[in-house]
Amino acid sequence: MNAYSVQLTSRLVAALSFAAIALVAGCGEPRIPTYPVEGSVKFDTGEPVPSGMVEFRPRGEGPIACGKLDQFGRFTLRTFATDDGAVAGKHQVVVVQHLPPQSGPKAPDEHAEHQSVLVAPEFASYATSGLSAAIKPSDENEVSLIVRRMSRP
Amino acid sequence: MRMTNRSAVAFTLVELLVVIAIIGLLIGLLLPAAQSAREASRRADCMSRLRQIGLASTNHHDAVGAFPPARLRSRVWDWEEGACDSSQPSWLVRILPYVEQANSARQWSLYGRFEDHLPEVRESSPAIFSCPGRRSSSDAVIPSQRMETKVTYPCGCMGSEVVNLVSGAVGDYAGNHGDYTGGSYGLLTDYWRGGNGTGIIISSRPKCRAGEPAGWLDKVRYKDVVDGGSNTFLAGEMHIPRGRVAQVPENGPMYNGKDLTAFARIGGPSIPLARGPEVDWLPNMGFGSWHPGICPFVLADGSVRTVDNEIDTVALQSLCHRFDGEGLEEDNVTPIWGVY
Repeated sequence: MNAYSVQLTSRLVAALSFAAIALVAGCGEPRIPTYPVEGSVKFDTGEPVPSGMVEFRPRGEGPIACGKLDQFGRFTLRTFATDDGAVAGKHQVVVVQHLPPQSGPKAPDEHAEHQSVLVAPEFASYATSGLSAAIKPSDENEVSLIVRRMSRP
Repeated sequence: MRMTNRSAVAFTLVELLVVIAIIGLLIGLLLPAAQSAREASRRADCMSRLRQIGLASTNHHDAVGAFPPARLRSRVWDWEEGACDSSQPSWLVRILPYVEQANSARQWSLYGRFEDHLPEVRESSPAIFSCPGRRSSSDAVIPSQRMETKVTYPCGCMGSEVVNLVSGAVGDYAGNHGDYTGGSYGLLTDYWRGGNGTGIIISSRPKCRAGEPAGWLDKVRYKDVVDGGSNTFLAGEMHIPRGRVAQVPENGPMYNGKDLTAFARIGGPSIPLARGPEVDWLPNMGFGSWHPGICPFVLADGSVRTVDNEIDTVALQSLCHRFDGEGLEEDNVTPIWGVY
């Protein structure tokens, strides 16, 4: 085998392996870009909302983003991965709390000690929450949300 | 001449490399195809079990006159009259006769407490209630144990509760309890109380006789599915984070009516479809599968469909809600033609 054919064959091998890698790796679908968003939820009296979730829903097309409130009422949004933020544009926002169902003989106000930190239920529905936020295509977005306390029936 | 002879009987290094490269290329082409074929067959298997569960529930409707109640749960405070519910079996026990499990169905008492049944009855897990690919048969039962579970209170503070867990079978499918209407605030209007659910498989109030349940009140019939059977989920795969299979509270005993999320789930704003097994930060209440990109559901008309994991939560809510006046948008749901 002469030098020319060796060179030709190795080129062929290189081309084949390249094609194999390209095929196996595939072409990932490009994802819609998201921008980091942090924020806080406070009661209208100024205290932070220490538990619950926020969900941002784009007014146009796009995936929703969620964040979990910490005890200082702070959240960081995620869409596809941890802390990746939300898509740019205007969003509707809900603030929802999930209390674990409790059982056993307890007083009707079984969550009485927690009443002062419950958010009014209308903030849990997009139809009634009235909260909104605009996310800019920048590396820093800070959103402040104000909610009312639940009034005891 | 000797050189020519030698090259006629032996491979050169380059020839060998070329052959290896070609074989490698072929394997490389084949592997992803084989993987996706395996995943497709797992998905088809999970969806066919879901279809059986859907048919069993509609058969229950035909035989009993209503869809099975997710479980018994009162809508009064626990010490008031009308609260005789405790841990009576969930809807999965009620459909056992319709998934060819008549023998185990006979061993259950529909109005007896879960823990009063024999371990072999509680732990029997028909294959139809688990999704292959997510669990092996050793992950189909939780043993009895005394354990501590973490609880986050609304104040943001963490606490823990000691639970005496009674052994039982665990599964992958959950009835559609509806959306989060009513919320969970410790009130009688909470979504998980009897008759408050907006889905098909909802918690129902018990009929009490001498302090023991003897029937159930809130019956969901086809006429109550105002949006139509083809616009409302009946059941789907429930979200369980990776590593939490057969663990409490994410995947508790599915026949024990006490723990709603072990056999019924909800969907809507703040409870999206989980986008895969790595999602461990959502409240443990929603649907989600381990199949890439989609979650299978059986609808109240008995058809099985896959739903895009990135479905808008308001669209998801309307599919979970049986009387909200909204139906399917074809963008979000892929009909499976020809498979079933």
